[in-house]
Amino acid sequence: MFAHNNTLCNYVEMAIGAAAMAKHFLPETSVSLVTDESSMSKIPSAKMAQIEELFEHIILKEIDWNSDKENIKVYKDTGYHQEKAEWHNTTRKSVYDLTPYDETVMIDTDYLIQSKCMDLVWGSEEDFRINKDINYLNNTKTHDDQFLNPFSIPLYWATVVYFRKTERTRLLFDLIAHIQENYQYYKYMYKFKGDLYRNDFSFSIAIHMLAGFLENKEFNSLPFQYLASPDRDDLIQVKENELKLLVGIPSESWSFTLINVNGTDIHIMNKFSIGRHLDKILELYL
Amino acid sequence: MDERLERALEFSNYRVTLHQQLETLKFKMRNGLTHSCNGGTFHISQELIGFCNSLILDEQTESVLLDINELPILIPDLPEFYEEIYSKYFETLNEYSAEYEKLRKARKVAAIVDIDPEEI
Repeated sequence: MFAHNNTLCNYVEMAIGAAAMAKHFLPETSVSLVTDESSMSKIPSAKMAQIEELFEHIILKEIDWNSDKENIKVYKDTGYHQEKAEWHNTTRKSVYDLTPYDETVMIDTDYLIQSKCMDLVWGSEEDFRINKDINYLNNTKTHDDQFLNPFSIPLYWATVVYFRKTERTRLLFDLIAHIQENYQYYKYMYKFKGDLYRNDFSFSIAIHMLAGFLENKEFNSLPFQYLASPDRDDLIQVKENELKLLVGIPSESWSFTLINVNGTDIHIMNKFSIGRHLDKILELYL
Repeated sequence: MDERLERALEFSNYRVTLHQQLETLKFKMRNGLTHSCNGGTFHISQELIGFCNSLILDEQTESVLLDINELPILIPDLPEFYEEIYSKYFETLNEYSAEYEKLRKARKVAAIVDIDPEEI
């Protein structure tokens, strides 16, 4: 897990919650945290004990404060509230060198595990697996969720990425680092919008390039489908093996329906809403 | 508001919630019907179960099967693989069936999502 705090989100605390859930449902799995000194220095001593209990390794990787200054993300808390902050998401390209494991699953700190599905990936025949399809709770997948732009390549989601250390995956992560360093060029080449650096885009471009600039099955999906809740939704209750969410309707920001997600892993993009339930998550799973 | 309209909107809200909850349930079922063996990923279908059974009846102990990515995967212990997919299939289906029945009988939004409004 990669966790670099910013002025709005305490990603390290979120990682503690996500790791507690991961260890509960996948007790055999070792979890490690990649973070930075600044994020770690703000962790209260009570939380340090939790970190030591949950994470096998704490790996420090300094973030590029200068380049991240321009990487401003809008954090939404449903349709009613939004704030902007720097997004420190540029260290993932180094995961190949940072991971202490031969086989690694890199997951976002807002990806909450509630099943044993992740165990299906270990020992895969393929050395790299990533999901291309996204499923939202209210089935409102748009073109932007599937392609970099209407005339561009398929979008792969770097929320959960499995890889084994091989020459091919080394090549892939080196290429991702190159794309990140020349992001403006690739933005022009692949004609996608927005100034925010997105790992999803870098991974998608690298996959396209390594597949011979073709859309093929060089890189396959993970052995489980990817469920997500966008930041217009609100996590309102956490129970054991169960998350209840108010699911927003894109065209009607004031309108919500209730959904109960049980026994299923889910990416909850509304980080504020996870923060409101972190204590409960730790009470249940730690 | 016109009472007819109010009742229609209430019913519409109920149907949307029911539909979304059912889709979430199907999603969980699909993930549950996935099995890994020897590096391959398999969708546990009735066809796979039946095919494995026919191979075992044919006294095969190992076989190469195509996984969901059309990779040829050697199954070194076919009877054990069959046992695993057979039990996982019914475990998942029984859970799906029980949760589906609960949904089918739910007449209110709170019952569909199994929530007590007082708790929130």
